[in-house]
Amino acid sequence: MITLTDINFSYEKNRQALHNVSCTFAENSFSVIVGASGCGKSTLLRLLAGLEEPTSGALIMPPALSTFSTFSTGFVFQDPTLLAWRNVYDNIALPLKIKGLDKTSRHTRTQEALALVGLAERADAHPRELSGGMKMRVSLARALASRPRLLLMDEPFAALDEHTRFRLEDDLRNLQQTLNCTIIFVTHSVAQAAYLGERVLVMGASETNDETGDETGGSIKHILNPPAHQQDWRHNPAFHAACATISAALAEVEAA
Amino acid sequence: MRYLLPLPIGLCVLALWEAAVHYWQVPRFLLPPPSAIAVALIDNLPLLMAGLWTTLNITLIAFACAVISGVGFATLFTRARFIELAFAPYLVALQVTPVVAIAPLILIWVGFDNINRALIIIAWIIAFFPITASSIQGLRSTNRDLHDMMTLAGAKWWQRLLYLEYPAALPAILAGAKTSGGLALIGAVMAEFVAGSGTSTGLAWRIIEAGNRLEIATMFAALIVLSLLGIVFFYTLSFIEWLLLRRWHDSFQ
Ligand SMILES: Nc1ncnc2c1ncn2[C@@H]1O[C@H](COP(=O)(O)OP(=O)(O)O)[C@@H](O)[C@H]1O
Ligand SMILES: [Mg+2]
Repeated sequence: MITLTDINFSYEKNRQALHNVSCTFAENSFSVIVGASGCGKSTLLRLLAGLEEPTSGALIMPPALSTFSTFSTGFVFQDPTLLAWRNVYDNIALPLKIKGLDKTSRHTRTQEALALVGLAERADAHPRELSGGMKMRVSLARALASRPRLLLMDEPFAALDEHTRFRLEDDLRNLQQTLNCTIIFVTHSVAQAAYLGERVLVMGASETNDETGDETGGSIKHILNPPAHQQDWRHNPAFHAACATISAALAEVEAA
Repeated sequence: MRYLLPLPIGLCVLALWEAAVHYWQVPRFLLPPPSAIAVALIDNLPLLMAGLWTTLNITLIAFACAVISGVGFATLFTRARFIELAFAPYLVALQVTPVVAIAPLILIWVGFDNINRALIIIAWIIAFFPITASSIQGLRSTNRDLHDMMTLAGAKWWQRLLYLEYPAALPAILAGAKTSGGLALIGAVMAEFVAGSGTSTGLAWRIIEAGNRLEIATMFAALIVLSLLGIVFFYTLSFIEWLLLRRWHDSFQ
């Protein structure tokens, strides 16, 4: 269990990005954080990844996943963030090399990750030879190659076309069931949140005090549990009802 | 085939030149015809080749020094904001000072008995700025997410430099290297001009010497060898650039 208690975070003085964020993430759960742009979603992920330290509050990681110096945390950015000069294989293997794995285990893990995302045939391609969806798969494979216990994803499919996005969403759901890892997925898309999440955390935007100009950061306002998938889920009325519930929660948060 | 395309133009110009010199009977010491230049080129070939060898050496050594010191300095410069702030004015001063003006000083300090070393230092200073400026710009332009990715992988500072910053800066470094390569040659020639008579044996000195004796055809011959050196040098650097970037950089689709 990852536990956050009253986390506050500011990049600059008087401009808070996160305000009293408290929540938990159970092991092997799939949580989606949804919220308007600028409400602090990325910031929250950066804190979870250990890229930033909270200004105040407690962030407690289970010992198995504490700090990024271990192998435990994978991060997928909004852009594929591949190294253009390395081919697919070498992009995936680089973090393993940096972490000091020997050549044989690097090879095993890279092949394994390539197979997981269905790109075994394109190992020799350079990023510019790949489509947007494929690049995102490589980026995911790079995170998976470290066999993370915690996978953080920051709007990873936002730039993809709908068809590709649907395929990747389904792949990700299937992966999660086989991988046994905790996924925290950030998005601004209500439909994506409803489709992916076992649990959806709705974040409220930061507020500016008109007199002082100080900003109070975003925080988690609602936690919803969309129903489990049923047949033909994308076209199922129950799915649309789940989307409506999340939309209503977001609208309420925005209006506040 | 497309590399032969410039050839007819060159031949036409040479033919017109030859015809014009004969038609108006231009004196040889003002403008020799191409045929006389060709003769001078062949007659003076051993001397010109020796000059080429000297100038080539000075240029290449100065260029290598400029690349190593430029990339090294750019690396240091981009490590911390305070280093940047501390060094920036001196870098600008180096850029705006005409190095010709300090060339005599360098000659005096290094001494005329070490003339080649002095020439290398002058050419080096001239070639230093473009490669440094490009490298700084290249090293700065790495994407923040990529840096975060390296941090999450637990990269040490040298791994970040080796696996991310240098490769990302490579296109800019190579572009700077091409400019610096040209300047190293210009610097070598200019330094020889400043050093003056009897001290050096490079191509520039052949030009001065031929000029003093009003052997204009020889002067042109030396000039041709010098241009050829510049052209070969430039295309070699372009070729290296192509080899290193063709697989991944957008400029080679
Ligand atoms: N590196 C940064 N420096 C200063 N302010 C930042 C930085 N990154 C984000 N912010 C600010 O923090 C707030 C939350 O940003 P972010 O976490 O990126 O939101 P989201 O991902 O939900 O769009 C915004 O007001 C943004 O302007
Ligand atoms: Mg964001």
